[in-house]
Amino acid sequence: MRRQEDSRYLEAALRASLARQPAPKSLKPQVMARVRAESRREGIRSARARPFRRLAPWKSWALGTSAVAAAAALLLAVLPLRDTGADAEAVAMESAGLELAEVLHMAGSEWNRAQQAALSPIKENGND
Amino acid sequence: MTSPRKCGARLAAALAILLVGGLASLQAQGTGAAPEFASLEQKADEVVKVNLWGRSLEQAKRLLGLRKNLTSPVRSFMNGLTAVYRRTYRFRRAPASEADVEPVYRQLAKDGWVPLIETEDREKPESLSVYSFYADEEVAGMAVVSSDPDEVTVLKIMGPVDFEALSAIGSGLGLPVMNLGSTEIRKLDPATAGK
Repeated sequence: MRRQEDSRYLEAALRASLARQPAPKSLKPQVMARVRAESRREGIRSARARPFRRLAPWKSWALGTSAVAAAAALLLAVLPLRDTGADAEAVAMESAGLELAEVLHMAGSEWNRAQQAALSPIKENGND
Repeated sequence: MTSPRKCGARLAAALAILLVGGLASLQAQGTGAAPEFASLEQKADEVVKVNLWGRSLEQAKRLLGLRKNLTSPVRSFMNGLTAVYRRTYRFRRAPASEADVEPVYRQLAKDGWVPLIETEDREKPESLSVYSFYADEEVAGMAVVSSDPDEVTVLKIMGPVDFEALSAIGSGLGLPVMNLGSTEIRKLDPATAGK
């Protein structure tokens, strides 16, 4: 924050300026009260806009540490699930591959057997 | 302006197209659908069901496609597959009879499957039948029914069938099964393995 934006600095500057001015004494407290009220309101507004600015250093550390811990816990919880999913996928794939190979082998050998059976009576008739 | 007669004709044509499309779709569903035989399932002591279509079939094809010694016709045949089903019914207490298998043949005939080869052994109660399904005068599927008193197996393979490639697979050539699986899975890109 720049020095000119600091409400305390502004208040001090205004106080000095009012002290130098030949204004009636009764007016000065009113002006100062208004200045204080304004600076208080400004302080509240800036705190709302930047909530973490006003946090104590230990609070920031606590907040950061808890965020890191939560992220680590989430990763630890999710990573084993991902591994299990990949394993299940690999098992399903292996099983599907074996089943396809087995069914094709069965179909192929039955097709060969059927062909042989279909041809054998013709050979027998030819020999007769 | 369109006359009411023209409008009616258009409506009738649209309805006819929808009806024909619906019937064709029903026929295709029956042909390509997973085979279910409730009576055999009830009687069997053990049932093996394999349904490979969609994502599972794509995964299986990709996995087998990584094999180095896969021949080109086998690879091409495998890539064209759209669905693969297996039903095996095993009987220990009461043997399967011809009457038990009859619903299988009936269902296949009803769905438009044409018998290619039908064999029966007179000495042993065994039979083996190979069916094919045609779409646009091309083989679009193959079904195998093998039965004996202990076991009845129905295989259904949907997609353009290359019988030579199938014969090679049956002879143990073109698609070796040993050591299949984990090594190939590791070769796949982990980012795309699940797709």
